[in-house]
Amino acid sequence: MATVMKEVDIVFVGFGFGSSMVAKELVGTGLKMVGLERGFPRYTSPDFQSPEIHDELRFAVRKAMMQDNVREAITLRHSPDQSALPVRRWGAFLPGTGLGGSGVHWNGQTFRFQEWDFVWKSRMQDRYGKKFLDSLDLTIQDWGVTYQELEPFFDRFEYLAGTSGKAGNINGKIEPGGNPFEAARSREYPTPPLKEQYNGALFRKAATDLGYHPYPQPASNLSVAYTNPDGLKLNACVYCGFCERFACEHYAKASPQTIALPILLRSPNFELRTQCQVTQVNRDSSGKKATGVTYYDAAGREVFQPASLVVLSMFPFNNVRMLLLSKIGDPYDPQTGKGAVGKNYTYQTVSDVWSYFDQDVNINPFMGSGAIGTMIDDFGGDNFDHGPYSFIGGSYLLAAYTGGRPIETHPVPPGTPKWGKGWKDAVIKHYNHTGHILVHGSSMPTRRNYLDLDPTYRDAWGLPLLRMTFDFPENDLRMNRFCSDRGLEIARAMPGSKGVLATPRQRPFDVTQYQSTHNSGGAIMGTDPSTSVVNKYLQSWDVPNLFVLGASAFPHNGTYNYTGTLMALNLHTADVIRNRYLKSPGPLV
Amino acid sequence: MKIPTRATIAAALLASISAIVLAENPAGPNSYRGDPERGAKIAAWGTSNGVASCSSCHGYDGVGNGTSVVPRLAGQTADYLTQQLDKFAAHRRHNVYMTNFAQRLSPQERADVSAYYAALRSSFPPPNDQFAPELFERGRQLATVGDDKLTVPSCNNCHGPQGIGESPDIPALKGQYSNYIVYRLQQLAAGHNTADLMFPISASLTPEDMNAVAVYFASLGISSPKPSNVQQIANSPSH
Repeated sequence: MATVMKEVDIVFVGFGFGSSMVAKELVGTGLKMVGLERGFPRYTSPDFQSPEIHDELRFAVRKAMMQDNVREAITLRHSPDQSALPVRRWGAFLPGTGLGGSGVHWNGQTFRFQEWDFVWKSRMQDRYGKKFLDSLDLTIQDWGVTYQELEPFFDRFEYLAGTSGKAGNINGKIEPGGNPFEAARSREYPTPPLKEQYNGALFRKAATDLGYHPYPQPASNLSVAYTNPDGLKLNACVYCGFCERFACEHYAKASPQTIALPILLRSPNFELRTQCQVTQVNRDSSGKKATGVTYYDAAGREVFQPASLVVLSMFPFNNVRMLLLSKIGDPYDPQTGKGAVGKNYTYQTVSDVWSYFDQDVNINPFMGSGAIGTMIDDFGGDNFDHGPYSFIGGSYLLAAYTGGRPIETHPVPPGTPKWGKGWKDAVIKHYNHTGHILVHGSSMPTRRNYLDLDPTYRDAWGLPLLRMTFDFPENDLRMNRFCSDRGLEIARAMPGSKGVLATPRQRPFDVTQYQSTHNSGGAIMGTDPSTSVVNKYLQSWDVPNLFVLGASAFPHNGTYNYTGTLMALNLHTADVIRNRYLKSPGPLV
Repeated sequence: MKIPTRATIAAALLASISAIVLAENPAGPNSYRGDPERGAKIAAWGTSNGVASCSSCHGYDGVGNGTSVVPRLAGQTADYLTQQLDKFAAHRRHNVYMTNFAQRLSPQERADVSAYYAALRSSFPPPNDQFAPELFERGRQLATVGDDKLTVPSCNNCHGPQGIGESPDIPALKGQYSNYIVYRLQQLAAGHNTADLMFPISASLTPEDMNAVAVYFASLGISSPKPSNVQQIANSPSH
């Protein structure tokens, strides 16, 4: 028999970046809010301090901050005709857990998607024609919201985070030093760019010589000490090289701990409960109203938390799983194409390019930061004419080392033995003399890439695991090869380069090799309830007092790291909840 | 008054240009290899270029004194000390006396005197123990875990376990005079340089917190039976 808690106004499921920022925006409304997080509480001091945090084995190799896939894995198959198997060790993507979620261990790369990303299908059709688009067999859709509507919320997130960068386009005026391809922004970044690595400087020279437009990567690891609009202080990054997969000891990375929790924990109307595993969103007999959520607390007791408004922010594929487990909306069926929950699951298409230098060129990769880097957007998204090519979408090319940690940093040129003395000698020789370019590109949805519940495997609470059916569409592999070739040209042109290697993305999708944690889609936004799960405010079409935050809403994944864009959507949602929904609850569209 | 000849003027110009060139070394510790024997002579006697003997304030043993403005030098690394002299010379650290002496030392001499002091294993004077145990505890907390409400990370993150420092940028705090640590924190807090990592941290500390960390680190000198080296840190019980 479940314990029934006192009713609250809003219950947040999962307390990472999405929930914490939306909850923070609602402080001051007098609403009673409860945040439920399955993981443990943790704070910069004492939990993220050195030397314990600089433990590569624990955090980078053994993934200490990630979802416990002994208790709660996912299953994976490459196509609907296969049987899925559980992913017992995270590799390609690293879903976070614990208070703050992935907002603790992210790298801080902070981008805005392009204007045309939000009207992607219309744009592709207008520019390249319906025939070309149909030949690619992709299920792209328009998002139902425009970049212009979201611009103030991109701006708000960047100023709350203190993002370090150089604007390339302010209100239509192209600014030197920034990205000339970027969507217009209303003002400069709140702090100046991070320092440039030597690897980045070599890339800059080569890219400029080739006629491209290099600029510094926008970073939510701050370049200078900063006080944000909420009065919260952040320190300047110390370039320690332990960013992704780690927490920042220095208060220099924008995270729930630095920019949301201090405000929330001061509010008498906010309550945080950790070690609470939510298993269901409950509804009334009509099925159209959420009544609250059911969870298991740290002692294993079943609890029902009644709430007027339920917000899911569990990370994209966990959001989708919760909808499916709670039987909200129609599950997507790849055979018929009907149903929207689980549809348009996308990922990120990434690969690497390496450049080998002589011993007199010292790269010093250990002087790193999460979002340091010099990059070009000349081949991002639709920034170039795809007419001659047989794909849509694109990649940015980024010269960066986030660090040079000893266990996992061992670039060696082709032909090096794979183990033994020959390998060790090569690692010693090349560790400090190898350049790196990341090719980071878009991910297009297809009929056969989707999410549903596994028929066989269950989690520690007896509930079906999420099943991921995914492989890279040919479109994306062609796009990646094209961009990888452009990266190779730049690598060859880096001053002092004596050799290059590119490793373009291949099929089948290898879940054992880290690529990106930008899993997206499955609860996509749109204008039509038959082909989307949420509206432009991330409000469920089926259950109007349920909001589903984050990148599960993306009908496709764009070229860029998606945190900036999903935060703009989330803050847009917070704004509509605060200013419209509370006054008149119900469908907003 | 002797009217300067052209040769004298030229010599004076050359000297002043040299002084400027010698004064500026913005790229971190200079690359001269320091000779501790030459450094010992500079420490004891100063130089003919008007540099007073370092020992007159810092002691020939590098122990400094408890006046609050003369730090212990013994045991800081040579690269750290050289970099500080370079910074004083270039006005990137502010002290009228040190700027004058640093500018009058050549880069080689800066490296030499730094090498001399870095090699010393002088004993630590007893810390001034006129403080409450709660103050020491607060200092230990700030040093080892920081304070979330103040957004202050732990000192040890950068200054190393037991404050042994990290060459060339980050000084050892272990066994430094507590009142010197307070003096420096006050200076850094007043510096208002947002690109300086120590500015936001020092500006977030109350005077009592500054005293607390200072008292903690000062006491660490005498807590080891011998002056520190990295091996002993690794073997000693955790702080």
